[in-house]
Amino acid sequence: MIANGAITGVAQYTDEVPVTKVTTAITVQGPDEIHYDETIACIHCARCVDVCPVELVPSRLAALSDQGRFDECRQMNIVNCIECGKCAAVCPSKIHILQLIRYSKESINRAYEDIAPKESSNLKLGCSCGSD
Amino acid sequence: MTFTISAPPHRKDEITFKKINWSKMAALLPVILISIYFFGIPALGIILAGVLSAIVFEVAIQKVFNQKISIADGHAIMIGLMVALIVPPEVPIWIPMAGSLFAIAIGKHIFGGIGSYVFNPVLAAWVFLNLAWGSIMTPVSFPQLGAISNLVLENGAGLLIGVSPIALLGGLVLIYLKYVEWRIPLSYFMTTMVLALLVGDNLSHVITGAFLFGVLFIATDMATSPVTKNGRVVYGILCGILTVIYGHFDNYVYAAFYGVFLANCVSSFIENVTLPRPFGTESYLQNKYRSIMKKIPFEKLGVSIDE
Repeated sequence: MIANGAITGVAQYTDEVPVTKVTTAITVQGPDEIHYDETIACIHCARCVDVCPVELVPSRLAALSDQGRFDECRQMNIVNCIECGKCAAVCPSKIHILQLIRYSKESINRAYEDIAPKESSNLKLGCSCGSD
Repeated sequence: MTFTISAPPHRKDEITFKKINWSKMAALLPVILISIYFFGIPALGIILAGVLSAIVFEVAIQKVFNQKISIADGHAIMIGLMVALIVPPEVPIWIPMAGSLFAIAIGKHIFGGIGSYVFNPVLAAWVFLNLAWGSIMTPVSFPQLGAISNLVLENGAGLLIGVSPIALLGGLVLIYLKYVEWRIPLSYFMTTMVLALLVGDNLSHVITGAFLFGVLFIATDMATSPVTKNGRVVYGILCGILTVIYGHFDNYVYAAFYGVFLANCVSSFIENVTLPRPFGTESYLQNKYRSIMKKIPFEKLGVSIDE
C-alpha cells in the first residue's frame, strides 16, 4: 500500500523496495482508502475532456487503445499526453484511462523500434506477410 | 510484509454513474410531489407504472441476454420516471408502460446499453407514443405564464412536468455540483430566448415546465451530447434553433422535445468536427488572423514593420 506520488505513482507490493534518487514521494494508504471500483461502459460525460491540460479527448483515446487501434490514437495526438492521471481520477465509470493511454503509447514506441535504420541500403521494403 | 496493490491514480473523485443518476432523480423530486398534489392519484399511478415497468423490462432484457443486472445504477429507473413525467395525466395506465418498454428496449438496449445510444431513450419513447397514440397523448391545454404565481403552480399544465417550472430549478444544483456540465443548458437557453424574441414570440409561451425540463435534464443527457467543449456549445445552439423553428409554428411544449430529438441526430457529427486542436498549435482564429495579415501588402502601403 505504498505509492510513489498519489496520482500517477506505482503501488509497491512489498516494503523492501529501495528508495533511490528518483523517488519523489512515498504515500501510505490504509486498507479503507483503496479503491475497489468496477469499470462500466463509458457514459460520455466528458469530464475527462474538461480536465485534460493538453486538450486531448481521453475518452475516445481510451476506447481506441482498448480496441488496439493505435494508429488512430497517434493521429489524435496521443503522444501529447503528459500522463497526469486527471482523466482517470475524475471518471465516473472508473475506466483505467491512464493505463490504456500508457499501453497505447508504449505500443507506438515499440512499432518505431522495429523499423530498421535508413542507412541500410539492402533494406527491402514490403508487406510483413512475406509477399511483395 | 506484502501489500494490496491497485492501479494509479490512487486518489479518485467520489463521483460515480450511480450517484449522477440518483441525484438527477432527487432533483426531479419536487416536480413529482407537486404534480401528485395537482393532478391527484392518476399522476401517482402514472409515475409508479412508468418506474416499475422500466425496472421489470430492464431486468427481463438483461436476463434474456445474459448481461449483468444493472438496476442499482438507477439509469432504468430514471428513464422510466422521465417517460412518466412527459405524458398527460389523463392517459390510461398502459401508456407509460408502453413508453418505458420502448425507451428501455429500443431506445437503450438495442443501441448497446449505457453510453451507446444515439437518441435519448426518453425522447424516443415520447416520439413513439406521440406518433402512435396521438389523440391520447395530446394534452388538454398548453401552459401560458399569466402571473408570477404560475411559475410556482401552473394551472394550465398539460403534462405532468409542466406543473411547476420553478421546481425544476433543482437542475441548477446539479450544475453547481458539476454533475451536469453548464455549457449545453446555458447555450440552449440563451439561444432560445434570443431567437424567440427575434421572431416575436411571446416569452410566456416559451418558459414552460417542458422547456426547462428539456434544457436542464433532457439536453444534458450524457451519451447523446457531444464530448468536446466547443461541440457542446454548438449542440446547445442547434437545440435552441430547432426548438424555436418548431415552437414558432406550433407550440413550445412539443418544440423542446422535438428540437432536442433532432439535435441528437447530428451530435456525433458535431463531436467529430469540433475535436480540440493539439496543445501548442494555432487555434482557428489565430490561423485566420495570420492568413489575413499575410495578404495585406504592408510594404506597398508604406508601412514599415519594426523588427
